[in-house]
Amino acid sequence: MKALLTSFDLLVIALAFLIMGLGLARRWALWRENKPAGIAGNWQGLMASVLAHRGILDRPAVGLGHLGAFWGVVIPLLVIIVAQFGFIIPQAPARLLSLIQDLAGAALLIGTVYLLVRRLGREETEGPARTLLPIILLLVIVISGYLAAGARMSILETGGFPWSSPFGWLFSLIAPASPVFMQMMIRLHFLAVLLLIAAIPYTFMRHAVASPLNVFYRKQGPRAALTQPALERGAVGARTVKDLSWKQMLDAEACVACGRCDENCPATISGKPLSPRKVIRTIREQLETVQTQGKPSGNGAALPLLENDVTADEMWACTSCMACVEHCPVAIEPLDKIIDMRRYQVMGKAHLPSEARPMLRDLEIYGDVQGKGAAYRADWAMHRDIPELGRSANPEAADVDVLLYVGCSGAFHPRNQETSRAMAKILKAAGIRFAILGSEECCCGDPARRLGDEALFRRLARQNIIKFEQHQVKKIVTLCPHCLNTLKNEYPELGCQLEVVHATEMVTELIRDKRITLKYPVADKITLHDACYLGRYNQVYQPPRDICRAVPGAALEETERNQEKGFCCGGGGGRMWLHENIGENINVVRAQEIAATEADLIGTACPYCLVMLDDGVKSLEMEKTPKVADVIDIVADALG
Amino acid sequence: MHIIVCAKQIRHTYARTGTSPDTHYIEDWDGVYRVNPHDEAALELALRLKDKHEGVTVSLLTMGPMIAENELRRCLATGADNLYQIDGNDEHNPDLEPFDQPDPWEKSDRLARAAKSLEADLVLCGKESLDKGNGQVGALLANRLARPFVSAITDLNLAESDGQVRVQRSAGRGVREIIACQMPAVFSVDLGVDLRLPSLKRRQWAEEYPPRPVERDGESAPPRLVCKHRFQPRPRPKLIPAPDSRQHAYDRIMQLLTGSTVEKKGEMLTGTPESQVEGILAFLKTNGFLESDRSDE
Ligand code: SF4
Ligand code: SF4
Repeated sequence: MKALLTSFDLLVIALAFLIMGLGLARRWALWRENKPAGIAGNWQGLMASVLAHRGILDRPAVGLGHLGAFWGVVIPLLVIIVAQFGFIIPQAPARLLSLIQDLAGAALLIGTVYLLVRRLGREETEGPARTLLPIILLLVIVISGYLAAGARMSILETGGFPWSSPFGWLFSLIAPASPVFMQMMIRLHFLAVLLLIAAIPYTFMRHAVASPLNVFYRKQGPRAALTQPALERGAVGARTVKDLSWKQMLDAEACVACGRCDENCPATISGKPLSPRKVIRTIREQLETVQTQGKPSGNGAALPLLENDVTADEMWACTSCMACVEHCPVAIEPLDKIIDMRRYQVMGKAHLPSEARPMLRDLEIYGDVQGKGAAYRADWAMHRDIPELGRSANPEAADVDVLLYVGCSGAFHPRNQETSRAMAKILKAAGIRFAILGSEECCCGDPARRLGDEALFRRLARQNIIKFEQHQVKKIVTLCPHCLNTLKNEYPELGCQLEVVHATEMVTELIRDKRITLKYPVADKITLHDACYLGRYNQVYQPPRDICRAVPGAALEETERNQEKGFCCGGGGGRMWLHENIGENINVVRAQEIAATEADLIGTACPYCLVMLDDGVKSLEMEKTPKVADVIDIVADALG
Repeated sequence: MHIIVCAKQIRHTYARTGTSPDTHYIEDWDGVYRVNPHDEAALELALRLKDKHEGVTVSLLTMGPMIAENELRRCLATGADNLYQIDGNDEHNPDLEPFDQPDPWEKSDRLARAAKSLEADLVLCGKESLDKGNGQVGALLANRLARPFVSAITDLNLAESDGQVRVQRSAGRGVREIIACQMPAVFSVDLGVDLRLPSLKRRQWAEEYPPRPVERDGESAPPRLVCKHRFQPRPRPKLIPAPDSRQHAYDRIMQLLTGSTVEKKGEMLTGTPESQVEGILAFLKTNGFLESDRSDE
């Protein structure tokens, strides 16, 4: 190739890179505005994702196709770059190199053809020109490359089967032995490569730049903690794309429209209008509009509003289950954008679905989601000899190892109160010195936060933090995974670093240390429903399973979708308080799936899941409705 | 048009979990400070009028110390333009010493003077307050201002044709009345509409807003009603959960003997409406509330 590089070619190459650079730079200008200083990258994640295709290979067929295409581009690229230096390479390695390149080309060919066929049959998220053009260019590149190689072989008439380039040989059978044809093919090859390079920022191929970047800058720290908007400086969530953070914009650029988020989104599956992929696409399209409108820092007057393209029905349908985040191969988080849009609706425009208003109002006035009031918060513990940090005049009671943070559900919902009592019983049986906050506890703030009322969340959180500090709490055990997530992952931002564990984690430890023994059988066949906020949010998958295995005489049957793939009960993200009148009910979808295991006891570890699934299985009207119970209840029952 | 909405800050005591008779068994955590919900409904009606018509100003008028400051500022944030305060420095604690609250006669006098000095075209107040429940202030206020008065309204509109207002009130038993009323006027508002949410920006503005004092001119009318005794209800009967079914029989009996009540357990019917109806019918029949079909045979 070296000899072919005339000065004209150099000019064209430079032009291609210039076009690509310009396109990227314009995007970059937009991102940079909101880029925080000094954010850390993640090399390991990047390597795993790019070189080994971790995540992408979760779906084997497409994953392999992409793997082929990826290496089919990278290897020849490397070889060409190396070849530019004009090393004298001995015969054997040169042949090997040629073989590798030949095979890489084949991988690229197979990969792209597969991806092309797959894309053709789909409803497209980007215009066909933008998705299909790069794939077709790739095809042109690989075929012209082979034809050129084949032509060269025909001209040279090497004879026999060349082991160093088997596929090139195949093409030499059809390629005419004409130098002109060879030159044409080389030119075509060259042109297509440059076109592809120039097209990167403007087509679907931008993912080759944006996706690795996105993986590199993937969120550090607790995965599911929402970021705090700077309320003091007037930030109230996302009105337009300009309100999104740098990373959020990069997210939108990096989307390859693979649709894995949709395939796992409970809202999409149950027929709601929400599609996380569409949310991301909308943001990218609006970013492009803003970009073409000219200066990114122009007055925000004519900017398209996010709510024009993401309707209320869409943004309020999200259960914040995080399935989309978990399954995205390139670390995109549709969830935090949805929450930012909700924030703008609630705090910026004071719009909230009317059915959720009383709940927020109760939270404001009474500090709990049911509006019963703090005075009744410890009623579940009445006459059970459970020490209260708040009210007790007894100084002994204040010296405890762990605070049992009950949460609104555990304190007020009759079903969940049972779980609270069960937990108290277990802790007593194990001889743990614990206490509750009683009437000094208030809601952890999760429902307000997921519904977009950040100001209320902060108020509630601060109230709790003050109490934690006042009573010098060192360790907290929560009954509700939502409390766990807020206390453990979101309170640190407000200056409260405490050891927080979930009840199941603590009980597993107690069982392991033989501080409690499960003596009595409770069911023959137990199945588990993974709570999103426990599993995906906090990676607590094993403890509930260990507990179920420790129950004598019970077999654990997994549901179809479990652990990382677990399917939401439909109650998170404030959905518990919103009407579900589009599509199927999520809890029924999940209940059907669970019922298929034919278990007689459904264990879960979240008060919301408990209530939602209980409703779900009951509405199935089965002959023998399985019981739904918190794993903590199960343990207490098995204790005798 | 200047609308004044009277907003009473109250302590709403919803529980009695204390142990000391001195405090009437009321503890700090047994109550919340808030703005009287009827007054919030009045504010919402005023704001709706403001949404519909140009040149409407809505002012909140409160009396006494800021015991429910957060909630009052939230009301301000929902869309009111001003917040006036009468007697901001009073030492009254309207909660545990309800005797110290001025009587309706005196209250209405002070409110009337304020309304006059603020040149209100329309005065709205709640039908009654959650802590006292007198329901007099509105009517007395109208009397002192010599204005027409409609009680317990649930809707408020301005008729373009004659410049009068149209209010809707419920006359009981599901009867509704639409009343045309001349301006200026005084209305008391019944529950019905919920106060809107404030935006964060308005909230931040309201946080910083200094309440504007209304000067008292001269002595106010001396009280005519004096409350002599105030009896708190008996402390609520202790709700005692049914004995834990997981306990041993001995413990359960002990728990019952030490004074628990046992909750009656009903059966929750589930399933389709039809199957639920059948369940209810079966229950009624087996318990003799309904004659069973067999008797016809
Ligand atoms: S957001 Fe992620 S999972 Fe969803 S379509 Fe885009 S790349 Fe695929
Ligand atoms: S968080 Fe769950 S419900 Fe929300 S968009 Fe993602 S997958 Fe769908």
